[in-house]
Amino acid sequence: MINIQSLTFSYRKNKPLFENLQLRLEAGHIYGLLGKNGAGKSTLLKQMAGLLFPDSGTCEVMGYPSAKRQPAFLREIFLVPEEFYLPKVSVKRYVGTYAPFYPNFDEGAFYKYLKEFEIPKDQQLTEMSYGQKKKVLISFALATNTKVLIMDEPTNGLDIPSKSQFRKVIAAAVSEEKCIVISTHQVRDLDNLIDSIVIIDGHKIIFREDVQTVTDKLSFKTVSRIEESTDILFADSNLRGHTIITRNAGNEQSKIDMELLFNAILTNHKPIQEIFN
Amino acid sequence: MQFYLQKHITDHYRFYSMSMLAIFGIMTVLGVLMILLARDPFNRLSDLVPFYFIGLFFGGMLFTSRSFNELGSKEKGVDFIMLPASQFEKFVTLFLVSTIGFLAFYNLSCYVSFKIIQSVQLAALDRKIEMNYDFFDNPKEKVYFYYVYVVLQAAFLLGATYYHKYSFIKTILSVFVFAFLVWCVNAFLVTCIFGFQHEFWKRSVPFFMVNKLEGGPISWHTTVYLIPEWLRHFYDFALKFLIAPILWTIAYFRLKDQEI
Repeated sequence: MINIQSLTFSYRKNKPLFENLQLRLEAGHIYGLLGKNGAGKSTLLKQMAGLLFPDSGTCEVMGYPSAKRQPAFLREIFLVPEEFYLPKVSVKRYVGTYAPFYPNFDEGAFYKYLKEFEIPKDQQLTEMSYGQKKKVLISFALATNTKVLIMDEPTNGLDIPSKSQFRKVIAAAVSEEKCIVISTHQVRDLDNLIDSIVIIDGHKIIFREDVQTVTDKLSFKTVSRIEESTDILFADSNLRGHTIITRNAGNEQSKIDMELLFNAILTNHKPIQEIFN
Repeated sequence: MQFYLQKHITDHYRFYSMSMLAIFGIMTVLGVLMILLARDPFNRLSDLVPFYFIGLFFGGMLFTSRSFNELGSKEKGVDFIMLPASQFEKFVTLFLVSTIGFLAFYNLSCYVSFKIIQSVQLAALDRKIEMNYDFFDNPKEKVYFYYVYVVLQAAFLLGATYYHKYSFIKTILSVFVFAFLVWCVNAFLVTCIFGFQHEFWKRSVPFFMVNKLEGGPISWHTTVYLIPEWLRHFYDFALKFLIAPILWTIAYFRLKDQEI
């Protein structure tokens, strides 16, 4: 669905953000794109959306070169940026103006999502808070039924109940034909939602695995004494004790701790990568 | 096409309505005030024509330079680019709004404003405005104002694709810089051809004519060197039919290449 080959891109000369980047994302998954500040998460999403052009290499979405921004491509992709624009109109007017551009737009679903987020239908968009506006945009994005949905920090600005509503709404919207890519700093917000992890660091994709494979090969535990555990790949101490990652030798099923995994990969990349190779 | 135009109007109708009201209001109120306060009637329509052209050029260029304002803000730029319409459709919409849309509104507004001014003058001072500006019967040179307008409009539309903030000012500066460069190239070429001694480079209309001042100390005469007639015809053709479409085409490709 999204096929990036040998992508090189830089904002400034001699300071490449991506060098020979390869990434292939398939339909039917919710990908979490994780990376440090400035790693290039938003830039990669913009490349997928056709807002930025590769210096070299290709970025194709559903077979369309994203940089060409053909209407057929734009009709099947929706980007929810971190900072977004909504015109000074009511929700109804917004739908009336924007929805005709998306052939698969489902108005009923849109209002259902709004209800889920507890957003009044008749309010002016400009009178809403940032979080409310974001919920309108997320609802609209889901209702467009585009094959590719890209979200940049979607939970920023959402209150605690809204984050769980968000997870619920996204989980309900995913289908075999859709590919959802979510970039976030707040990995805990999306722990139960993401089914594939992509970690970007040092101009490259350094990790790309689905959650099932991760939990098959790694074990996530909380222990009170770190000395009791062997084969620790990464450990982090907190008030409850120590959260650790070990090789999953006994085929135990544990719940993935995305934040721990992210930190582990950034600090101890090689041994973890060897497990997956 | 209909969808993007509809979307564009929805997003900008407040700005357009305010601008239309402001233009119409300023024209009408100023005219009426001049009649009522200064008791200075407009005797002929030609007295009003300069104001019409000043408004046309200033308003038209200002309006056109705002065409791609969205690209000056990341949020609006993403909304503009990601909307599922072809870049051509978006360009044509903005082109139509800033050319036909503005011209239609401005001329209609001027007509209504003139009718009001005429009625007020007749009622307050009992004097008619003589209709001496027969554009439709004799458009010969007058129509060149519109050719120049279209070329400048195209330049400002192109400027709007380069400068997303303060586009109006920056485009004016760019036009002046471009004109200065043309003048410099002309001065250099004229000096190469005619020499430096009589300051030919000063006495020329760039790429059109050179005045050669000769004689003295008592009497002087000027020899005028004009470009050949075929070249004059080509300039005329370029002004009417070439420059603006070329600038519009570049503006379209610039828009296609915008990144956010």
